[in-house]
Amino acid sequence: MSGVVEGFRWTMLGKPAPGPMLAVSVATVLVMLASGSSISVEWRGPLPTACDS
Amino acid sequence: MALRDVKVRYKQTVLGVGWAIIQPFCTMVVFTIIAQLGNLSTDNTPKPLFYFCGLLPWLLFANSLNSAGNSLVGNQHLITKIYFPRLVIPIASVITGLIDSPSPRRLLLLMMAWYGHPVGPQMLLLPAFVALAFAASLGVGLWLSALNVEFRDVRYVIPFLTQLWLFCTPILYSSTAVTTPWKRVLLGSTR
Repeated sequence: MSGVVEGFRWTMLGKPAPGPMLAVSVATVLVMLASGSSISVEWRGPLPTACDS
Repeated sequence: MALRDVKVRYKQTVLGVGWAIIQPFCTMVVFTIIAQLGNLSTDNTPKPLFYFCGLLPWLLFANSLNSAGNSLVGNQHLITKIYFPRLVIPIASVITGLIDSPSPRRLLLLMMAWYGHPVGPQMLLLPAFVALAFAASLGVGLWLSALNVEFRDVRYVIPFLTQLWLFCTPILYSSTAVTTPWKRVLLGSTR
């Protein structure tokens, strides 16, 4: 999230552009999205039970 | 599903969508007081402006992550009754957080006008960073929502995780104030 926060400050307040920090953030987000999507699609774990509600 | 969540979110509340502004505003006030007491640097930017601008993407991320992480367990009645891709539920909960986000951004623009802070052409790239915050909360939220189904500890981990993550992200402090070895650990950069 460092790249996102610094990017926000760059766009709104004109702070220095995030640069390599943004590249790390984008790469991490892409990995998390890809792995998270595949886990959610493939997930065959137990469904929530009635005691959760 | 996202529209349903938006309608329900502020139902029977007195302040309604005002809550989307109150949360970052009050946090900004607290951070400004802490920065005054601790003499923290905000890179020559007015402290309220610096903190409010940092809190907007953070709160979008943290609130979306919280609702996405608990979404599968919270919508068990839907999952058990009809078949549809489970991916839809966390995505809908993150979209709900995104719908709230323009209101505090308008307040930020008002604050910038108040402090006489100019707006540059790079502001046109703001939607890209909103999209990145959305993708980040969705990526982590998908993991947490799936894990929450198996391990109910996750619902207790999410608030704790976001609290720790807040202090590892340069919101209360400027990234320029972080020295090199910590910069690599906290910010993933040596610049």
